[in-house]
Amino acid sequence: MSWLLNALAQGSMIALIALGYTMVYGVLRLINFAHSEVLMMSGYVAFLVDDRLLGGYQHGGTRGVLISTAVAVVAAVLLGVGIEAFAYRPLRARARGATARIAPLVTAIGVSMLLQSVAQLAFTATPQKFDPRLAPPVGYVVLIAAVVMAGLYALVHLTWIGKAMRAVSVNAEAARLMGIRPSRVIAVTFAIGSGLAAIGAVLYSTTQASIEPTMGSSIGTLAFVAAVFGGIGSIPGAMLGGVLLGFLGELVKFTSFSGMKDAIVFLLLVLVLLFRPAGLLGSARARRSSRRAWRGRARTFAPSTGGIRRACAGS
Amino acid sequence: MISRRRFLGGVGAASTVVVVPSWIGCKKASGDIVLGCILGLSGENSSLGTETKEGMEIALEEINAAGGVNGRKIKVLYEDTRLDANLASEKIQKLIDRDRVLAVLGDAASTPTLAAGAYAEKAKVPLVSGSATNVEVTRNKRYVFRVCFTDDKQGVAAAKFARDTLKAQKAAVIYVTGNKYSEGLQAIFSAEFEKSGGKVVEKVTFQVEETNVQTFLTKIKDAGPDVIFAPVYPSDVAKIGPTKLKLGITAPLMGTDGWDGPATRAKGVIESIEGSYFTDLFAAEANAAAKPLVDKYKAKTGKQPSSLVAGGYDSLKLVVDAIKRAGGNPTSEQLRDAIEQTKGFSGVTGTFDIDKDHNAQKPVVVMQIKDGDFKYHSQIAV
Repeated sequence: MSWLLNALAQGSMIALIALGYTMVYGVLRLINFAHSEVLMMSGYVAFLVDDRLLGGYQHGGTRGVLISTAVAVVAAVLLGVGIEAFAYRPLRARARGATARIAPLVTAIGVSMLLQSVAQLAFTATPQKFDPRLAPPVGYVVLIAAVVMAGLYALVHLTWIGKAMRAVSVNAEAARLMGIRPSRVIAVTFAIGSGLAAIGAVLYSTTQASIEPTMGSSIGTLAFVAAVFGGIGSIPGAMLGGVLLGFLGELVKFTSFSGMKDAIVFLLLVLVLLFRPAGLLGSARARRSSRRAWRGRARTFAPSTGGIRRACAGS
Repeated sequence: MISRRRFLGGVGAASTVVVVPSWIGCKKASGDIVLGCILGLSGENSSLGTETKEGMEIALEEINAAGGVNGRKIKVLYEDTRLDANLASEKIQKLIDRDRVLAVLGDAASTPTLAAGAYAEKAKVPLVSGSATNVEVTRNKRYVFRVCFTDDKQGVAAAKFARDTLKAQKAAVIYVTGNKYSEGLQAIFSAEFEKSGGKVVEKVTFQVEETNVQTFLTKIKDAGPDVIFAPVYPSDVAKIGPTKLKLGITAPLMGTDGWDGPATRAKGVIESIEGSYFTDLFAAEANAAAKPLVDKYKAKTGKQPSSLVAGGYDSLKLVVDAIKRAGGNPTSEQLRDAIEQTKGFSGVTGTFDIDKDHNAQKPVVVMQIKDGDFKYHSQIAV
């Protein structure tokens, strides 16, 4: 029972962070590599507020963690929206053709490196750690993650802005024609993803990880993989991918190969992706196009001319 | 035109960058004696490197205040390895090929020192570590030395302590995969513990990046050991300790010299490992020769010097002593011979020789975590 809860907690923390990747991909078709740095920065904000201003474990206690989490969420939202406004939006307006997809991607990597270096200058490379006694019980971690994700699901499916998000992710041009402002929707998406990352960062760093400028790359990689595994662009996919990744990791810990946990988990994921290239819950469109690509290839090699014609028509 | 001028400016800037290091290299013959130093100064266990550096800086001040070697000052160039094997071999290469250092000091841990040692052998430049204890580090190496004991002594001492002093019948082991230090020690401890009549009831291992050790400790709890051997670094103690407390495991932890660091002393961590023990290279309380270093270090930082501070201090002092014995202006090869011939060197960690295997054998110190601090417990001669 405690094992189950622990695995679920690991998974739901990964899922919270994976959501940021998947939501941005959903509306922009962009892998936002700077997401992991938003996570790292919000970890620092939470730690510094709690430790320097609120007195850490001795004086702040649980209340201190809650306040610093709120501050970190606000900071993460500002940072996420700021990155979008200053780094991605100008490119979206200018880049055309082939560069329209590559330029933001390269910019994302650049922003990620920049933020890492800034953190190293501002906070030094020495890792910081929350007092382990501030860690919430495992059950609370699962509960918090579940409530937050349920809230997100409701937001996406029951509110106007959620509907707008889904519309932009299906077809941004058509959404614009229907009176939706894609730029506003994109900003909101960044804000939500970054806020979730901040909650994930606080849960992660209070329960286990230390906070350092490179923390984003280790946790971020895991979350990114979870998003791809679940089907990038799909919100339930990211949740499922994160939870499954957490479970797989904990399962490997029972074997004698526990020292190679990441290698084994990632190998399993490669195998799954070979059979489902669009991820577990990848969008129907992505799934269809990838299936078509497979079939097209198979047909091209086949001697039947009808197959080739159909494959060409399909693409 | 502007673009060409800018281009030429760029070339000029680039050539200055290239010229500066070779100029340092040229200066060596008449000016300062330049030594290199590779240390893990950043990353999760950066304290291993930064504390070693603090010890070296104190030694350096003393040496240069006393006039250096024949009036020539000693200069140390530091490079950060993050305790990573690949970075370590890259950085030692930089120091030897670009900066033309006479000898290299460091690293603070075994994995990077082992990697750097391979290049030291190739370039025929001595490498002296203050605290890399894995047996392989100096084995069959002509140019690699250390001023500390090896893990075959330390692992045996830990097993002896667990058997004789803690009266443990059953031991569990938790260690890090891919870390030479941790892997080496767990093997030596397990063999010795079973040889002396005990039983290793559970062995778990995790990867370096692991953040959650609850599953591992649950397995250990189910096995019901009398002692848990954990040859790990401070960042791992910070994960294992609080989790052990949370799960209500009462068996004490038995650690090794890698424990010595601020992450182990951190609030919430030190309380969770109260009553645990670890073997160490050095205890300020147990060594009268350390008094001057203890006073200086305390005045500077307000803390007791750790075994890493002492190891850093002794490694630099030993190299400078060897430079003096080799006539004050040796080649790297002559310096290597002088280091190898070291006999009766009196350092802060005791008076020691460099033995034929390039190690410095000293008694193993056992520290206990008591009242939220590291307290000297006893010494074990192996």
